[in-house]
Amino acid sequence: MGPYIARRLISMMVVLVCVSIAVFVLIRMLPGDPVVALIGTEGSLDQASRDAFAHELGLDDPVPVQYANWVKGIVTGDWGRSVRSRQPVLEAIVDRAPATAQVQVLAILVALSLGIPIGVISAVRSNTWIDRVVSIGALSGVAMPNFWLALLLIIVLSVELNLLPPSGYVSIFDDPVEALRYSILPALTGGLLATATIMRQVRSSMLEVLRQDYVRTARAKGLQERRVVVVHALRNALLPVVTVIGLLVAQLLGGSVILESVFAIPGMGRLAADSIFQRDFPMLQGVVLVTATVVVVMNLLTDLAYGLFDPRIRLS
Amino acid sequence: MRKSYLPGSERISRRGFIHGSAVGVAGLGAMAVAGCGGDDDASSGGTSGGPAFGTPTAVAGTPTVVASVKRGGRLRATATLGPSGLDPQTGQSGGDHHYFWTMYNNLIAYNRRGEPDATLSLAEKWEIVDPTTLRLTLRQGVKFHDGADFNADVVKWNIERVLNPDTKSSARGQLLAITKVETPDTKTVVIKLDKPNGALIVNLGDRGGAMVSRTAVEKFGKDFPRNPVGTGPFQFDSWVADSSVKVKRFPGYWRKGADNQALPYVDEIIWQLIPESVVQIANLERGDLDTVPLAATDYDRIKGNSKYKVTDFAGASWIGFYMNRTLDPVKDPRVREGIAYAIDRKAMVDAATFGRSPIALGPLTPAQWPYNKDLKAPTLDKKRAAELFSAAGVKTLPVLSYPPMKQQLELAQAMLKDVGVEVQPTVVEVGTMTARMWTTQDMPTCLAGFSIRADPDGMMSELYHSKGFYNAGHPEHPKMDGLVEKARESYDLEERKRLYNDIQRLGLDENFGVYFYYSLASQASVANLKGSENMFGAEGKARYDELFFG
Repeated sequence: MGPYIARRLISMMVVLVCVSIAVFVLIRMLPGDPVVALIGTEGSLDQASRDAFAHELGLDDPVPVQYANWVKGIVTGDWGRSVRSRQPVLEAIVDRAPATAQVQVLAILVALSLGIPIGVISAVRSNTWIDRVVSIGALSGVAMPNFWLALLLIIVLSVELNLLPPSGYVSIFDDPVEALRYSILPALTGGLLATATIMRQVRSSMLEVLRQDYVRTARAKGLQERRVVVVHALRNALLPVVTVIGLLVAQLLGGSVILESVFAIPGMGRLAADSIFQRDFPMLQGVVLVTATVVVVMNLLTDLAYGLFDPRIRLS
Repeated sequence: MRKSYLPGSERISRRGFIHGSAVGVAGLGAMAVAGCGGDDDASSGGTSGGPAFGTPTAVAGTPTVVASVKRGGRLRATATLGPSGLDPQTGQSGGDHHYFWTMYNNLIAYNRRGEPDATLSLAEKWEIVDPTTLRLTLRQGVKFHDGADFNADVVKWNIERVLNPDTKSSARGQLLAITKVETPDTKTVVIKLDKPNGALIVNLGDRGGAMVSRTAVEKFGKDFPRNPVGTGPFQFDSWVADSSVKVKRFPGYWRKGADNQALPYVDEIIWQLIPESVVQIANLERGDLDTVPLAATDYDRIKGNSKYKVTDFAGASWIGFYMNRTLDPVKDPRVREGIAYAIDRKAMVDAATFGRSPIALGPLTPAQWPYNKDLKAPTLDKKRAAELFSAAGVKTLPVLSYPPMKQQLELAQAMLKDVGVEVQPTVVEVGTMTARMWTTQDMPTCLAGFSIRADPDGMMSELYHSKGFYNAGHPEHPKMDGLVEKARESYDLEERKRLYNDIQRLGLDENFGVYFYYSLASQASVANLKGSENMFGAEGKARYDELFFG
């Protein structure tokens, strides 16, 4: 296990270096003078100020030098400053990460607590009306754009029924009850869409497992059907689901760009979107690097989790 | 003495005129440029004197129309975007102003008519000593929120800060005419210009003339945009990026309200930063917000509800085609003319703004003082357009645009198709659009909007002068350059009006651009929020210091 993790960490570093080069180069391949692009529609910086801006951003250095300076900054803790708000990049990311984490963890909990039972029921009752209703629901879930679902939930649960606040964010460390109230709508939006993915994965792997010999043997032994399904079948069926959860984290992080904009949550997704539209180079580079790190680490954790669910798997 | 030198001065009050005459003798050929309500105005904060240039009316900064006011309460507002920074001199977004004007005052501020107004300004009077010398007399007893004194040295430091390229001030271009700032005493500032500049006084009402605390800038350095300190009615409280901005009442503010107590009326303002219009309205309807921008789609529903009142502002920007007159096919004047005749502006307004926006006549909007409603703009003439395109042998037109203009682009595409021209659209995000149209300059046309500037020179120099950033391709046009420069340098309002009319006429004759309509910004507020009908400033940006809950 130890050597395996070490190897994975090394390959993780390689991936992150590649990501950092890609984001660094891509952002500089956008057409036109980046300083002018950065000005947006205000467009009132005169040439002398533009030159000063370019110098501060290091844009007057060759690209390899710019990259080396950035990497040096990352290592020494100086991730640069936002060219818009002048806030230090690392500080902004540390400020925003908890909001994204809070909403995404809740979304995954929603997805797991709904997706696994529904998937199991759908598999156990396969080809019945229950299965068909659930499958249609799941397909609708996969097909539904998350911004549309978000607006629907706001109109119904917030405006019409007046149950939950339509937007905003409260940290769970400041006020757990309020934090939950504010997080329910975004967590439901992200979670319901992920539910569909998990449910379909659980259903198909459960169907496969339920046809295995050991399940037939368990039933032949006279075990209760519930025990057969939950203890014998589900544990083995969950292995592919773990992979899906790993992938879902990346998907949810991508979805957070829209989710956080609709629900006005000050998280990483909104920071990324704003940075792209405002050509905030240092901020965007930092956000992409952190997001890529989270995704890569999640993949590693997913692989390690296989061993927990199936002791036959030995990572080497 | 000449009759008038600045916007609105033709309506100069008798009292203001007499005072203006008095300061006007302060030098050979001296010209009074601003009505100054007199020293009593300075002490009463404008409650008795009315606006600098005319009879008292319901203009921001002239709260005389309000019979009784109530104080206190928290105003819950919203905005789509947070500020790019809260340092007015270095911020880069057109959406910053409504935040920073709660915390800062301008050396010379303008009122809702766009007129420089001494009752709103940190300079209690100003005069043109000669065409290249401006003398300002500063208001006394004004303090920054950090307790620092506002005086001539601070003004000199502020102007020099804006002019220093290392500051990277987005307002530097507005003040470039300034060559020297002198401070003969603590309340007098003498500004020397390289050449006459009639736009400078109004431009001092924008970013470049907003006064920041020197002590705070020196204390916070690069963090000053997140720790703003000015002399404005509110002082900074907090800014949680992408979440909220909060300011609270500054008890030591110098301007007084209708009850003769210091402004502002409300204790604090909190803006929730909510990108989606649907969610902003949902918050208003739930009672979580007091005032929100109103999208066209919700307009009728909200306007018809007595719980809310709606304030409109026409002309904060125009929507239309920019042209690069050095590139094919629009290099050919016939093609530009064809485009101007092909666009059905009424249909565009009906489809894109539910018929509410005014049709554009030229780049200057109804919100600006040189606007001329009699300006003759091209109207729909499909036959003429088809003939022009046919004569020029043009069948395709590349058009650059960005997502907010999708609907307008589709409409223009259909209208041009009607006259035999296939639009080849390229839709990119705003940064790429700006870079391609005005830096690499590889696209002949761009469909986008343009926000008005405090002084018309800020628009016409950029859009029509051959050196203007937004005049893509920078085609030489000595006649237009001459007109734009003359309008900039003149201190005579009537002359400037005439010149801007000539500039627009020439621009329309040669189709420097094709203008569809003027934007209509609307704000929905709860019915008991008083003063919201006057909350838009001359440039269409919100002011909050005279709002109160009734």
